[in-house]
Amino acid sequence: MYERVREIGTIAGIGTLPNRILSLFLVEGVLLGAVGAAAGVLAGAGIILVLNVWKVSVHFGGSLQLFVLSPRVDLFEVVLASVTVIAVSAVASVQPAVRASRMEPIDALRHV
Amino acid sequence: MRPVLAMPKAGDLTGARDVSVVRATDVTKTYATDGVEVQALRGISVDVAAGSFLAFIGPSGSGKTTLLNLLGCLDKPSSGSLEVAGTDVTRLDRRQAAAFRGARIGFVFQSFNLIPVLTAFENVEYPLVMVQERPARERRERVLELLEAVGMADQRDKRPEQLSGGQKQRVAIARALVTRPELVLADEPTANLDGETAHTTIALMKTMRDEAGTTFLFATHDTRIIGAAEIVYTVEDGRLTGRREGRS
Ligand SMILES: Nc1ncnc2c1ncn2[C@@H]1O[C@H](COP(=O)(O)OP(=O)(O)OP(=O)(O)O)[C@@H](O)[C@H]1O
Ligand SMILES: [Mg+2]
Repeated sequence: MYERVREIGTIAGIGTLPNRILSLFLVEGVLLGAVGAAAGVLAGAGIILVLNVWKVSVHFGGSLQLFVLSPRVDLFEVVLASVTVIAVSAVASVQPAVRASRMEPIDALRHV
Repeated sequence: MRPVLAMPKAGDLTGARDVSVVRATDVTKTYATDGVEVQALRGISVDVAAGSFLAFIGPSGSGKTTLLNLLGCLDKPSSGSLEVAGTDVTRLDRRQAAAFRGARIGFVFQSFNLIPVLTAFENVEYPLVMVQERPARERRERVLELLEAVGMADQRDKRPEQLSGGQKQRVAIARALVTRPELVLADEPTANLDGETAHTTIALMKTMRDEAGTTFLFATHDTRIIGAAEIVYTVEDGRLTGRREGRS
């Protein structure tokens, strides 16, 4: 975060307008969320694929019967989860973005 | 070295030679930290003509950086009046001050302050993208021209952490000049440069002054800049205690 504060001081110092700093940070939040969601979807898809190909089987409790795992999810759930992740990170980046855009460059630059 | 910039001189634009870029009267700055007051500037009055190549020298802690921060509209005086480039900068709000800095001023910070996630090229390009919004082609031309001029063109894809102190300093100088500001404020811009690089860099800035009428104000201990400066002010304990005009 130290680096970040200096960075804000620098871009504000050389003349980036407060609104622009605000949108830079919001966009960054949304992008981070999107990258996170994409990573989540890929990892999930990978696990499902592995389970389906290897036909992993498990015993449940004391039962003697073997259950072969063949997990699947529907597209709607994936989309919903992704949208949620992106929305949450967008909302979570509002407050730091506002704070960044309101920083006095001279104070931020002095941050060592 | 190729001439870097071709622009009308500030003097030609207004038809007068002695236009002031800085008019400061009784400027003071008092810092208050944890109830302790430090008087960093104790009444500075100075008039700087457009196209000056001027150095503030003086012991560590005398107030040089504080003064440059006020002139660069990064901070406000505690009292006194201050006009920079014809604007009463004591009255600007945060947004107006940012717009003013972006349009008129180039900074070389004492600690470079490059943006760590950007390459050398992108650091120099930054103000042309985010502050002045120039078209891509013009940006590329200008950035390469300046990286070339400071001898950093071949390092343009490196990030700051991959550069030496002197190399970072040259990128910082290129970033300050790329917007063709009216006024350049440079805090120890040559501290990390070897003899030859310092010489080239100072010559580059002087060329820009000659061709574009850019005003350069330095805060420095470096004899190489002091030798090149045409006016040298001594700052001691928050006051201007001496002024000498050198050769040009
Ligand atoms: N943010 C601050 N809060 C409190 N005191 C400060 C602050 N910045 C500077 N000072 C004090 O103001 C005085 C002038 O500092 P300044 O940084 O302007 O000196 P300088 O001439 O640039 O020194 P140097 O040559 O070491 O860079 C010093 O006494 C310093 O301790
Ligand atoms: Mg200093």
